[in-house]
Amino acid sequence: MTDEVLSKQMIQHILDTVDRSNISTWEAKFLISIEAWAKKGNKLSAKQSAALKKLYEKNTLKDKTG
Amino acid sequence: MPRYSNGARVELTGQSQLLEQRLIPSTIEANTFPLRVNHTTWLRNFQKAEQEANDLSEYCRYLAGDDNFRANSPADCRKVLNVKSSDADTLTALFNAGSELAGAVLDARSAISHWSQLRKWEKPALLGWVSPRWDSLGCPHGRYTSEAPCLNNRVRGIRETIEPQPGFTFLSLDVKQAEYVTWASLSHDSNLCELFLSGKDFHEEMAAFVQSLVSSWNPENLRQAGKTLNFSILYKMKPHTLAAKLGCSHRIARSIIRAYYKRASQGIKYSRKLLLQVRDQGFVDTFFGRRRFAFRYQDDSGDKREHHEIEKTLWSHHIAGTAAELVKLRQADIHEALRREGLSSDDVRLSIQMYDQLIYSIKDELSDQIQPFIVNLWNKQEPGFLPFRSTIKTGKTWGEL
Repeated sequence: MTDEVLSKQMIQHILDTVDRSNISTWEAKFLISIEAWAKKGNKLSAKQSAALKKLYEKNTLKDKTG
Repeated sequence: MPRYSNGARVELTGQSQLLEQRLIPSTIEANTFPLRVNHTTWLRNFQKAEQEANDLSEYCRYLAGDDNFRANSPADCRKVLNVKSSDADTLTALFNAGSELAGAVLDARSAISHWSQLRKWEKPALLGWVSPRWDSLGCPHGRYTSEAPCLNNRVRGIRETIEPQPGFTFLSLDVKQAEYVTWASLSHDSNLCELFLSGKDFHEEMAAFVQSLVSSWNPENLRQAGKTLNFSILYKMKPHTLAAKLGCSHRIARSIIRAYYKRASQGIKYSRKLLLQVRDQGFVDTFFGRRRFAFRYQDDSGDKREHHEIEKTLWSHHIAGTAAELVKLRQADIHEALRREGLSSDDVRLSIQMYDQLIYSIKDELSDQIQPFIVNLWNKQEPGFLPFRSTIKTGKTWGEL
């Protein structure tokens, strides 16, 4: 499953969902670069997809209770 | 702090408090306006159900070779089928193993229950109306309940008798697979998320994936098997229960679970992590903060089976409770927006709140304006969650929806 390329909708969902206050600087930089890359209409490589997927899975939704 | 008859202790924390406050006006409205019950429809459905129950009971007597056999008698079933228990799981397993009588008993019981529910519905049918009491705090995990009479899990024959007031139409908004979408959203399982975002059929896809890994499993109806499978995994059924439900061996059931875990590994990890956290903290929260205390779960010394049941309840509180909150959130948004637009309860109001479904009564002449307004608010995506897919229908009876 790891060499699968993420769909456009999934990339957008991840970019919209990841809690950026809860990630490291390099992860934030990586997200910005993916955002720019996807905005140009480019497809992600398998490696980029796997990295983005890993970041997303690590960053599960926090409850709203604080 | 709400307390429940089963001993559950629940506390509203964080946003769940505000959410419950916002629900009060629409709940009061649902409790104020009675629902109409059509006597003619009731009589027709009652006679049909009676006929069907009699026919199926007769068929069971024929298969059992006993004129006194009663399908709804556990003692009769145990004797004729030669089993220790005659519950639905045992009968399903027997039916899957080829017993026609077990299948007929299941059908007959369902028909008898349908008939019995309709028989008890005579009073509201004679009165011509029914006024259940809706309660948003009625059960621990946060789904609405209704009392006097309870409208939850009513058979189609009863739902068909319930109508809006004259000059009104029902609008139904029903979230599809709410708990699975909630699970995928909360766990950030990218495989499950991809599946929902692609718009593919979740049940069929999961069953097809599992089948591709477990070649010895060949269900007749892939979608139905997928439904059973998804429900069993989400609610943590043991392999032997899954085997009985799917009609396969324990060995195959274990392989199926392993295959499923491969596809939804992050979802499974999330549930394990959550339960470990619950063990440490002694409570489980929904996304919006409806807290259920779980002190008994922290104690390891008890019965293993009981421990597993508690675990299932806590997990269900988190998933089904969050799904219920998302529906409630939409309910509050819609109510407030309608009233802001100057529409009163004489124009549009919530009539039925059933699990993941909201049913509004809308005045016929305002229907064209109000419907798109409500649907638009309903379809609004909650930040962080996957988009929910819904079935939106209109009708003149609850049964049509």
